[in-house]
Amino acid sequence: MLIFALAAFCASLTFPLVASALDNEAVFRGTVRVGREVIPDVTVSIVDDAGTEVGSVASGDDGKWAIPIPYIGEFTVQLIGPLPDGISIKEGASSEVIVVLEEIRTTSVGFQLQSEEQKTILEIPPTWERLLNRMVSGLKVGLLVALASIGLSLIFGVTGLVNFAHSEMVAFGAVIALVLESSMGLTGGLFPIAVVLAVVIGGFLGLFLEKGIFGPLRRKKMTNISLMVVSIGLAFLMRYLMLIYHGAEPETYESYKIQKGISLGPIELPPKDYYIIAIAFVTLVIVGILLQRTRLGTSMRAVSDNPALAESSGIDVNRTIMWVWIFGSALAGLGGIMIGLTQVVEWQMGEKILLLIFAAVTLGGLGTAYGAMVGGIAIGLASETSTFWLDNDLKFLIALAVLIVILLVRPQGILGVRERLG
Amino acid sequence: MIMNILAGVDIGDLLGLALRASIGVQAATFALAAVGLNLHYGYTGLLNFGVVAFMAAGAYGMAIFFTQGWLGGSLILAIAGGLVFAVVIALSIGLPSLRLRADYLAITTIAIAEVLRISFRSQRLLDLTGGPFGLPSIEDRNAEVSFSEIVTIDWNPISDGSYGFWRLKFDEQTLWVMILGWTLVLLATLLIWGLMKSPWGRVIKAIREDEDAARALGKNVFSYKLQSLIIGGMIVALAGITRAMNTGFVETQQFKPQTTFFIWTVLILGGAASVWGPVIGAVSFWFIIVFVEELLRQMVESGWIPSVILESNDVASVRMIMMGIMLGVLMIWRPQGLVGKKEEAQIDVR
Repeated sequence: MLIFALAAFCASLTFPLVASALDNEAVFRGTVRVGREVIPDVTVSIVDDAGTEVGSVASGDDGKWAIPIPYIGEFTVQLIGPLPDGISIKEGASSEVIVVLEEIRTTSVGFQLQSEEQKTILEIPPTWERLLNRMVSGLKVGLLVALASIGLSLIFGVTGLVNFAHSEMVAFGAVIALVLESSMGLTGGLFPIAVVLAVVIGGFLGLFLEKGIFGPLRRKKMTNISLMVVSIGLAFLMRYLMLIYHGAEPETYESYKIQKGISLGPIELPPKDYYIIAIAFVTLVIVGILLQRTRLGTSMRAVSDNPALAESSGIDVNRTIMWVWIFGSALAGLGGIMIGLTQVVEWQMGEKILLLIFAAVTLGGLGTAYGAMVGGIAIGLASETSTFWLDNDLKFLIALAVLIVILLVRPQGILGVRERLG
Repeated sequence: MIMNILAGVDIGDLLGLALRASIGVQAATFALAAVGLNLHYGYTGLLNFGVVAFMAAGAYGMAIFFTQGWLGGSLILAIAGGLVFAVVIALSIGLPSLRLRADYLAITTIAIAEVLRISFRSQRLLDLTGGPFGLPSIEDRNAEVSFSEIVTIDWNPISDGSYGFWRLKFDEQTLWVMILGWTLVLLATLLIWGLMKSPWGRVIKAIREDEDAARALGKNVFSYKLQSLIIGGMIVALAGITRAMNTGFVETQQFKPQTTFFIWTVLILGGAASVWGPVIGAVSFWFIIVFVEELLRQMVESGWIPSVILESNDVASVRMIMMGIMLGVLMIWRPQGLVGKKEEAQIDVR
């Protein structure tokens, strides 16, 4: 059994060689509750895939229970009972939850319970209302993806590099903001300071990547394909440095952790989501104005369009590229923080969002900032709204399907200009 | 100073583990996959970032045919089924996307690989693929009913015992899978060597160097690229099947994009566009990775590296960081790898 557990653990590390010593214990924990009411003295038991009981415990006065798990594998968490009168397992839910433990970590396990009253007054909002809420949430996701994608598109535009490390720049922003928040106590009303600082640090990251890595390599006349492979290496480096120095545990920002929803007509969102939508929208508009109206923005578009022509008309191409990296990276960081606010902050964020960003950028047209905006919003809307009809785990597939189809049918994207592509 | 550092470190132990890794089944599967990728990238210039899709196709194809008993429960036929599935995947990747520019091809292939992985994991395919649990089912695995049992026990001609010396002792099952794996590597390498000596190979390399020139000479570039994708894809699928035989099960977790980039690192380390590059790459990659990882582990445990810098359960992540650094550094300073030719490795496929 133990051998199998180790094998499963190793497989999750891509390939094993030396079975690692499992010196840290994992813990499964949860709270037995219905709504806000916690239920004490309910026994929870965990059985591994061989049928051996790993442990069992009764929930405490606060409804909480925790059982340490000594090895990696697949476990069935059972709600043994007894449940108080009038409280039962929700219809369609089970008293058993199967959890696959792939790495040593604390895992929350919840059971879906309902009380008699809930059962009777459980009202389902009308269909169109749920659809509308899905769409608003899609708009939110879309705006954030747009924010995160602009940099990738602009960097491709001015240098021709498809930067696989871009999504790690997104994750970096989110992680830095979290570190600033917890280490400097920038919670609540002070949190915006952490955001601004993290965005500035994100800008410096872009400056460093251009001046320290990609600029010199470009002058070394390395091809864009080689540079793309370098950026993949860089992405793994950044991702796993974040794992080592930030930790494997997904976290949320202390500020705005749990908020009660506010209704606006048929739409119900937590207040932070209204702010997020507003901030993302305003930022996108500002980026648009900057690109359109300022000297730097014009030169960015000019270099993106035709570097040789831009250079001959007196634009400092290298300086423009540097600013594109700074702005793109800062925007990616801002996008990352916003995504972290709506979901969780973790080292794997970049890996999870990478293809979403690629989908957005290619849909809109690689190289155009406005394309990234349009593409991001479209991808967000499409994937979130799809959960109305499809399983939640398939929403990512929608984005990927869009990406593949657009690459095959119109690789220059919606707003891109047709060129020789193959 | 050096002697001091060495005080907490058992060099013999390190060398033993690293050598063991470099000739192990894992190294063989990565060598095999890299041979396939070498045909795609090294010789044809196809930027295939979906290597793992072919591994998954082979492994899952074999496992599905076997567990469903569609081919009479015969493992040989199930393996053939897995290879056919890999051809189907090659066609569905290649037919629409081979006309794309290199960077677009890269993104498309990585996306298709993810689509395949997420689909395999989906609850809707639970009965077929086992969803997140993989194949064979947990009950079968506990009852030791698996494709790997057939290979490692029923087919195993080696009598029970422990073979080898020093730290390179293997039991009969490991030894047998190692022999099978490296034999496949040898056969695949010889196949590539033969192909590259043939007129077909010359056309393939011409396409890599200048697609338009090959087209101007009347060669059907698209068709050659597709053939290369299929042949290489089947070799990679064999690697996936070998790996499944070694681990005893298939699971979507094994087919994440990072596996693709491990194989890329193996290929570039050894030398793309060279016949023995993938093999040399796999052996040296595993040696380096395990050596450094174990060295760090021992240094952390004996206190030479303070826990602020690295803790012992972080050491597993170092492997990924090393892969990232190796990939970048090789690309910058030695794109031809250990044994490749520089002029053949300067690839800017358009």
